[in-house]
Amino acid sequence: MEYPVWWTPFLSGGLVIAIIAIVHVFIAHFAVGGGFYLVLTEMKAVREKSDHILDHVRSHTRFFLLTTMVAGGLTGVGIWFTISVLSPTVTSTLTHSFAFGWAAEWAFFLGEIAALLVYHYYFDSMPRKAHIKVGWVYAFFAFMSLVVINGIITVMLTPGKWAQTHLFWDGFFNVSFWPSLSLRFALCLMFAGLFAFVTAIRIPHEETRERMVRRAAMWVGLPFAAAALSGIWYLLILPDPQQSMVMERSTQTPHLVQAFIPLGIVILVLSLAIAWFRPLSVRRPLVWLVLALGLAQIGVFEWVREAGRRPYLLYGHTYSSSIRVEDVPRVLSEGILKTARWTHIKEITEDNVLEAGKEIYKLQCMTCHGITGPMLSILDKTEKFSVYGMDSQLDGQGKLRLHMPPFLGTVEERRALAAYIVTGLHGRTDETAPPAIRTLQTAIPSFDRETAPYVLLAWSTRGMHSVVEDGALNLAPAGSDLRCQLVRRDSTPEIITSGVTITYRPEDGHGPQGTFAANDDMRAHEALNVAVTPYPQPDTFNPYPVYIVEARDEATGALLAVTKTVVAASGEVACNRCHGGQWAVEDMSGISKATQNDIFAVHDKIQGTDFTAQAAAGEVIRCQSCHDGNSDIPEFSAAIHGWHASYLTGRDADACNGCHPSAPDGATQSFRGIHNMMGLTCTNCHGHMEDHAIGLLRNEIEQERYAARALMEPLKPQQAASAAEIPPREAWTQLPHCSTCHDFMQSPPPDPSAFGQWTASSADLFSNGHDYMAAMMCQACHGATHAVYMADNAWGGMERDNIQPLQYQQMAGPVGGANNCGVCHTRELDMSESAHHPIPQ
Amino acid sequence: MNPAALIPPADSIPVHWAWLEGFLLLTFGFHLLFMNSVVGSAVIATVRAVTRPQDPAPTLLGKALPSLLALTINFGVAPLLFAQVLYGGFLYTSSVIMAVYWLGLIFVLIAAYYLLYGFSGSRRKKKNGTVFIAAACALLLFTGFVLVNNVTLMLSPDRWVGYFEKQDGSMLNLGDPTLWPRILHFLLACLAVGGLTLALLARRAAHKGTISADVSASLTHDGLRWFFWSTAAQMLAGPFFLFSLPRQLTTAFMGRHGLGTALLLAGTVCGLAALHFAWRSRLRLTIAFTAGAVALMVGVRSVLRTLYLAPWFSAADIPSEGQYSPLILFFGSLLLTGALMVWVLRLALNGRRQHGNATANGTEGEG
Repeated sequence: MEYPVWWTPFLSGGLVIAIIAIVHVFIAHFAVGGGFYLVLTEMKAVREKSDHILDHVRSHTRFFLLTTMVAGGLTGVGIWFTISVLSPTVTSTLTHSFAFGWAAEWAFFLGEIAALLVYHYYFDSMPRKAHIKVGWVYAFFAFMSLVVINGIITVMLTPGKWAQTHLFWDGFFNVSFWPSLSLRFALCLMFAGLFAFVTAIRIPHEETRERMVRRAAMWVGLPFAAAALSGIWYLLILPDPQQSMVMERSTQTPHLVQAFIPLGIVILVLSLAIAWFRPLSVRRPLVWLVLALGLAQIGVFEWVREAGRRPYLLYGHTYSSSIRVEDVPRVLSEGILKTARWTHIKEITEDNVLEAGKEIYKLQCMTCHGITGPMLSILDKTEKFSVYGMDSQLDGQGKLRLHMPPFLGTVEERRALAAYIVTGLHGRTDETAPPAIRTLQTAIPSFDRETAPYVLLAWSTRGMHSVVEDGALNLAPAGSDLRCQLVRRDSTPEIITSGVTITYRPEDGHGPQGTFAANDDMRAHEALNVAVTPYPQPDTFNPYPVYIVEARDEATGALLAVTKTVVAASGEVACNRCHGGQWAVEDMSGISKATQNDIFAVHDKIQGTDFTAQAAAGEVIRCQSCHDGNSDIPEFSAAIHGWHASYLTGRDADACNGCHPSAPDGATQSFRGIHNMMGLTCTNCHGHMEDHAIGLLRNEIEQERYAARALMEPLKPQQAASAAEIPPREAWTQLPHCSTCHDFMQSPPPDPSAFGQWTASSADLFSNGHDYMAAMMCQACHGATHAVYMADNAWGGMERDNIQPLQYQQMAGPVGGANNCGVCHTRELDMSESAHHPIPQ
Repeated sequence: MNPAALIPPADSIPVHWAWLEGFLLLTFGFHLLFMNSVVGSAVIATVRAVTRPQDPAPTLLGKALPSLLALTINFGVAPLLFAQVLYGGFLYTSSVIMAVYWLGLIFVLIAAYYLLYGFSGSRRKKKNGTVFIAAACALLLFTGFVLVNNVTLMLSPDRWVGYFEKQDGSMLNLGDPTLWPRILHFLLACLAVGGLTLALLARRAAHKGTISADVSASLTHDGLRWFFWSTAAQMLAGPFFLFSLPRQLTTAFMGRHGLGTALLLAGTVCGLAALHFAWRSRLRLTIAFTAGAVALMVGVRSVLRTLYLAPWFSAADIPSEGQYSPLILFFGSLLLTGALMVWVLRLALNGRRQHGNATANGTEGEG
């Protein structure tokens, strides 16, 4: 944030560090262990009075010098140069906080160099005993340099008290210091054995050669147990966020942790093979292989250590984006562009959005994500996103999946970054052609008000109903609930619940048909779970099919009454905005295979499931089969809202419109009734996304499904001061209560909120409710939820959703409204005296 | 854009800044001497390998070059550390701006190092090794070029705005009028100390008996000549460098700044003394006064840096945390290292005197 950023579009900084660092530590561990190997082997040569062994030590010393002094030493400096350039902020913290640790390290390097130069150049011009002493001096300095650097490396992962005190010794002797030192020293000795093979296999004297090769194998084998145990000790000693990141939450490290010991075993076996197989032509490639595996093993360890530290470079102190934790509040309130020093864009305007986005990308993303390149290329990682999706991803970043830091900046900056990535880099915008909504004609059935003996009111309980049964993904099974009430018209009308057969069938012949069953408690007939889908004909989208409902005398089969109703079912669930892919059907609806595959892949990655393979094998993945509320897993509504709420914060109904078919410019426009016409949005009743999710999650916690806690933790309610103020609610049974706004005395206020006032149980739901006489169901006269009369249907205008009001009273609006009591009552009545419920005038 | 707005804030330092500046100057002095030696020796070895194919000088120098480079790099680490602690806001910034070159140095140095070993090995096999030494020499000179760019860019926040046109880490400081004068000054210093190195190695080799007294005398004479003429040229290059500085900095060293002027004068006097003794072939005194000149010039350089940065920054203003126990750790490590190094060198030199032991017997052998 304080320093300029090196623009590296072709590679990621992490890869540069990884290459230089892993090469360095491989050689550097050899430099430490090899020092002990050399001097102990020289002592053996003296003990056995063996010039052959001494020759081996001499030639190994030369090899040692050329490898460790040059490549080893300089790659160490290389790490320092690299981190200085990729994160001057953290490098500055480390050099300043541990200046004299680094300085002591330098002093020990000086001693190492001097001792090694003497050991090599004076190999044959000193008494042997004196030369051995020099060897021990070298080994001592090498070990001390390991001790010092170990303190500094481990503090980055487990800073402990240093984070508060900034005291050198609190940081140096942190909690992972000793296990790390133990593990590294064991690896030093093992690598000494691996590198010893290089020269040992070429000893000319056969007996010595075989002895030294076997001895090298021992050097690999004997410390292995210590290395394995130290590794386990290291894992156990890690404090919690770091430990769970390494063992569970990272998508990389759990596999690497599991690979560490098996890799060691393979190295052991190969070492034994080198000892066993004598021909040089076999040994040479085996030695190369075992060295490569040694490099891989230390690489695995270092990768685990580095990845376990995410999202920080210095745990709890500085993020991977080199922004210090203490600076976060300032960055969030003022924005990254204003707080960063090296930007020439301080303000986002209409004209510089992409350029501003590029600056923000450089400041927060470039350090790990090159634009192209072999590792973490941003083009690869963001291929699937729309601008909206990218923005949502950034919104949720670092909240539930903690391997990345959160996006730090204003919402405007976040959007600029999303625009830069998707539009600037991928060349895509979110502009699409408007959906190809067809005009559907609706023939209103006739009704003779003078003579008709019955009024048949029929409806689908849900005016907004998502159906996703697409290929392998079953996210929202088809199943509409139809209800109807047959009223015999009279001065005091009667609801008929027996002696009639009421049937339903699709008007255009495509779809299920069947018979209603009587429900005496409801004083209605119902047909539950009718599998109406948005695709009555293949590859054709129709979210508003009309169903004909006919009531017949059970005995005679005479037709008593006919009506029609829309049974809404839409597949316009826009997962593709974030999960990639296109719509499956007519560019308006349905989750395509590409989108599904991404959903499965992401779920597999985060939750450790195997959906991708299962789907490829032809299985159908039904979300509610696990998210059923009967295990520890959050039930479906809580899970899907609880997860996605972190990605859709600070928004209004546009958060809802992303997944529900309610977007006012979308293909379905499900929210279409009187409430919509009055200017209300989803949030008036259901609350904003975060609040909505919190209600569901609090209920999960009450049901002792505690996984919901992690989902709830990052959420900040919009409509309450804290999550504790939001009442828990059970999905589908506790929903907004109409009486919150409608007290039947006066009209509701202009911008009401029914959020937080839930029905106590499903009995109080609008869709299950009755009038004051417990006679007519609310929906009989008022219509389906979200399409409450009068409703304006995007596909069928003012007719399609108002069929029964138009049929019975030639006027869209509640049945019986505007003094149309005569629809059912065959005598004059005054609406203001209605026994159904008071009607404000 | 106001350059001051670009300067990152200084992180607090562990102890009083004078300690850190002191360590910086001390270790940098050693680095300069080793660096001058290795670069100068590499140039001389290259010239001699090209112009005099069977010349013993390149062989003599070739044996020492890898170790000299090792010590140069090691003694480069310490001042780089202390410079980052005191001037990190400037040094990290300039390093990022020229990141490609800065990181490239690692590979350049690894290559140069292996080439020097290659050269030494070549000469041991009685081959010319010209390609090795010429390539190594070029790489070492390039290293110096990159370093000078970095340290001059570090001192010039007003030039940092160039970053906004070139963010890919490839910006150098070529527009700085002090760049080439500074490089010339350092190059001549390298040739001078390289000459002294040749002379010193020639004397030592004669003492050990690996070359004859005549050859030694000739090489010593050559080395001192290299020293003499490059230091004489330095008497012009120095003022050239001085006058290439911004006007107020030039005048600072011409009387306005007491300490700076005194150091510069004293350093110049040492240089002149070294010239005198070189003319008289008094190697030890030449070396002593050269070391004195370098030490004083390190002081001059420190004053110059302070004056360059004065409009923006003063190290004395950085808050100190007063954590002295790690400093004691460092002193302890230095003492320990120093003691053990002395012991090791004693063992080596004593051992050589006793003609050593090429066998595993542990007793004195034929050697």
